[in-house]
Amino acid sequence: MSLYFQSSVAATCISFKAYSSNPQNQKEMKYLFFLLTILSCIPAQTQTPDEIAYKHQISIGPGYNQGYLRDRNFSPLGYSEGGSLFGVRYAKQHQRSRFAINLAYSSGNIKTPVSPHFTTSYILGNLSIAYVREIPPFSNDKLRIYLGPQYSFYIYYLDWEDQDAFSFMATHSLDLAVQGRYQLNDLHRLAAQLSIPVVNLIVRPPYNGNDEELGRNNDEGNVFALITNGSWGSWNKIFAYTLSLQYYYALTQRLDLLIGYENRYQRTEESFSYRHAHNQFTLGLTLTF
Amino acid sequence: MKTFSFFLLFALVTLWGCKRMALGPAEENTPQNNFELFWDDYDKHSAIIFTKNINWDSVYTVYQPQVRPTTSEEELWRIFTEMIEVFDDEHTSLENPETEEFYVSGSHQIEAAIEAFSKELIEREYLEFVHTIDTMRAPEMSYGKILNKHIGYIHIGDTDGYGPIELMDDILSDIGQLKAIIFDVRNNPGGRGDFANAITAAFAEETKAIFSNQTRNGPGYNDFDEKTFFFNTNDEVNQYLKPVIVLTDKFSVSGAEHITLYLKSNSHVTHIGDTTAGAFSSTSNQRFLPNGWYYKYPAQNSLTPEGISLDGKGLVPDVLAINTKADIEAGRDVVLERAIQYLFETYNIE
Repeated sequence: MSLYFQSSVAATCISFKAYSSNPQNQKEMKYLFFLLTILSCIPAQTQTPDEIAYKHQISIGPGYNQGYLRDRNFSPLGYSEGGSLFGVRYAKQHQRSRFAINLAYSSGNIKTPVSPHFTTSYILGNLSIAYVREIPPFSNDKLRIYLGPQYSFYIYYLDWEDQDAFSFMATHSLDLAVQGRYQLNDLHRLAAQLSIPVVNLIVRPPYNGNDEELGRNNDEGNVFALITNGSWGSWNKIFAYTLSLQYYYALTQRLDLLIGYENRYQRTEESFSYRHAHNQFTLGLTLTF
Repeated sequence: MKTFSFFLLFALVTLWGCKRMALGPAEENTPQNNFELFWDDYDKHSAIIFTKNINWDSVYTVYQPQVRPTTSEEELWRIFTEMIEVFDDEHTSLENPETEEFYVSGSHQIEAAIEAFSKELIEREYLEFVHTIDTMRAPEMSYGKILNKHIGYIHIGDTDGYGPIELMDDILSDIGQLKAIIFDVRNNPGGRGDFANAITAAFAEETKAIFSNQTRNGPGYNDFDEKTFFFNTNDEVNQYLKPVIVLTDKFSVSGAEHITLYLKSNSHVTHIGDTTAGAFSSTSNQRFLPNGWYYKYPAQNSLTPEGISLDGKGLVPDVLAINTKADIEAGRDVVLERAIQYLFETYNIE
């Protein structure tokens, strides 16, 4: 398993660096990145999984969100991000497939070393609904690999001094999701997922914050219009991925301790350059029934 | 445990190693880079270059050579404030939160208008009684009755508050029986446009388009989106259609100018005082600089229904009347006196 994690780290960072430092090769590096990261999710050794005896799984837990942001719609400056996090997850296991809903909310501040006066509050919300099917050639008794579509809604809202400056990024996306679940032994198991948006609806405010339609929808409380009035695109408009890892420790037959980590990256030039990388750590409990 | 350690290692490497890779290089905090960001942002996004027909390239030509790597913060502040002074616009501002320096373009006019107005003088010398509105409903609002005249007086010092239509109904239940009302928006820095509409709803004769806004949406100075028209609210239940005077000065800004615009659209309203500031349209978000300063500018072009730009020009009064500092020091508000005189001369109200 060490090979798995080492290769994963190396793949992520090498491809990341190459991607950002060679803009002329962005397209090629993007595909290389996808390939390396997907490959890094496949363990070098495979063992015999212990089939999950229960159909339903609910996980809840608090956590911490840490990240980095440069949203030129909001500011030319780079910011560090930190805040509390709460996540809820439900999954239903079938013989050869999994259905999962994941909900996460985080709030906190972004800060820049330029000035303590520029500290800005943020709210982050994420909903994903995935249906994935097992890929038999890659699965065995201990390991199960799944592949399938996922719908994701993601919103990130910034507010400085009661909307003296604000910005947001909202995306609805249809993702390709790859999941791996690995049973180490009776007490320990691991899970990982990589999802890559394929089709996106990107919602961004105008640069100067003024938009009559946005203002009208806001005044009328038309939340649906606020989060859907955007433009469609694929990899030509936005590059993003979400990589999540979970470690489960069985406390009882039905209750697990959960330690989760998620790394997400979004990059787009839609309505000015936006780059956001963040890491989420969660500590929670998982009930199976 | 070994597995868990690698799990943590992966997370930490990703956490601490990717900032620069994820965000790209940071903006340099040099005088030149701050200047370029500042000038370029106005150039690409400000509406006022078009509405006031400013030669922004010439501003670059004059000031860019003055910015050197050794330029001090004080010198850069002088350069920036001189650059935006060409707009003479109260919606254009620059702030250094560290030193609490705040500069508003055209602020010399505001300073003169502040010296030429005294609410305390009006309440002491011209009013029979004064009722101050609870600050929870409106932070800077009071009303009363002109001494020995059948004229009401309303002053709004901040275009903000809660439930403005009901608020005006309450005021009119007290002074609505009077033959005329003087609506004073002098020394008002502005506020919410929707408040301006609602607080004047009782004075509306009919519902009609009052103004339109266009937002700059492209690199060209005259790249604006489609006009969005704004209509007044008509409070048909509690109307006051008797003679109304609206008083303004150079420090009647933004929301105060909207109040004036809504009122002036009615035939029973006369505008007396000085030309307003000419800062109608909504401002941009505050924009941030690598040296810790922030600034904003108008992002829209406001027009009358006839298509005449209001930004930068202000509302010209029907009757010009201007106070001086000496008038106030002498215990006189000649603008208010002119309004009282006008009501007598025109409507025989006293």
